[in-house]
Amino acid sequence: MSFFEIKNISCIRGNKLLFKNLNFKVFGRKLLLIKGANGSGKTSLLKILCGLLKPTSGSIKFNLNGKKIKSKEEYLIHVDYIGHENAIKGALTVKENLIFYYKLRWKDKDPRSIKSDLKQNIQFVTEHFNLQNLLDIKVENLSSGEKRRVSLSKLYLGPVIKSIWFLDEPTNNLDKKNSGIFLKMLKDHTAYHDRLTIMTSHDDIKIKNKTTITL
Amino acid sequence: MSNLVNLIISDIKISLRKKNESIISILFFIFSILILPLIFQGDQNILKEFLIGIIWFLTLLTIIFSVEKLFENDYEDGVLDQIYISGIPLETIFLSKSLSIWIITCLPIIILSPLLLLLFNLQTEKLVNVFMSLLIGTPILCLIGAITSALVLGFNKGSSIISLITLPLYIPVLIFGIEASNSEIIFNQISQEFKILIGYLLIVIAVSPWIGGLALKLKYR
Repeated sequence: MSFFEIKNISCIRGNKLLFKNLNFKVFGRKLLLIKGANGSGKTSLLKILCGLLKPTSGSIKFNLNGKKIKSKEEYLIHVDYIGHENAIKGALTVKENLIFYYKLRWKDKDPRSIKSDLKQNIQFVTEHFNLQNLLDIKVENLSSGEKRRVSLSKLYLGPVIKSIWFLDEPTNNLDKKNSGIFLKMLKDHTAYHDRLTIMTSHDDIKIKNKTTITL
Repeated sequence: MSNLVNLIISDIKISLRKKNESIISILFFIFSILILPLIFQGDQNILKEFLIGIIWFLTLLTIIFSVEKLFENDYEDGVLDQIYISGIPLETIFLSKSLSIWIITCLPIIILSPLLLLLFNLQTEKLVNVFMSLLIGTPILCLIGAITSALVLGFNKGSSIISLITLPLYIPVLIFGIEASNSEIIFNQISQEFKILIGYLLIVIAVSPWIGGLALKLKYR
């Protein structure tokens, strides 16, 4: 059973036709890599697939474990998105940003249960991304690579790891060591049949179960 | 509810850290009032006559300046996308932003106004009226400003459009706000102007989250 079935999707942004009549199916346990020149519509396609934009025409069907997902609210439960922008607040410290996003992901839970898991989750995330020494530093004082690491760490925040990751050039500004950590994350995520990663990148991602679309 | 609180706390924290940006609008308000005796050249009677109107006008200006980029910063740095993706209703996002800006900008004005008016020897009854009318009127101004801020999100010349679109909706608040501030409390009965202001507030509270949510939804189409 496919995750996505994309039929005749077209996108026009600001009078410019980005792509026309795209058709493809995406299955789980996979990395779907979207490639293309600058301005070819990679980010727009990613945003359309994760629900941030509506296509000019065409339709998207989404299934999870054989069950058709009908509403956007139900769909967003399974989605995580890291965009071009890091989406972290410069005036807040790394720890405050992580706590903010942790609470967003636990939105319907009892605040008392949040407190008990918060410490554990933040500790795991900071160790995984080597953020221990940065926790009390304001984000505006971090380097671009450090900001990217904080941004990517959001993927592991919250009660569950989301089924579908949408990542827009996630390796931007990352050094070799941290790109390696990220690659391992991708491999782990795509090892499960009910998970999928869709990302745009100019780099060649060396991963076994990968499909590439070029716009 | 916990989402709403989480979003508001984060906004207030950011605003307190960016002291320059949050304090400037309050300083604008205070200095504008303090220089009034210079403009009126010490004529206390004329000054007293126009004082409450000027307070309301300055409050409106301060709010217009503050709501200008209410959603813009979060939209540009990608935080708005993240909040939306996390499944929080757009109405909640709208309400949290409106409440944050009211707490950051209007609450100091509401508290400071009667204190500043003390400098001009206004009657105590009027000071209470100004406090109460601002308490009821400023949420209306914030919610109206927030709707237009959401509508023009992404436009380059947002501020000028905001002022144009919202101006007619602000006028009733100004009229009844000034009238309520000048009204007299007879036999502990609140005046007609206060009742109208409360009615307007209730309507705006009921309607604005849905309109604001719809306006934000336009960005995600």
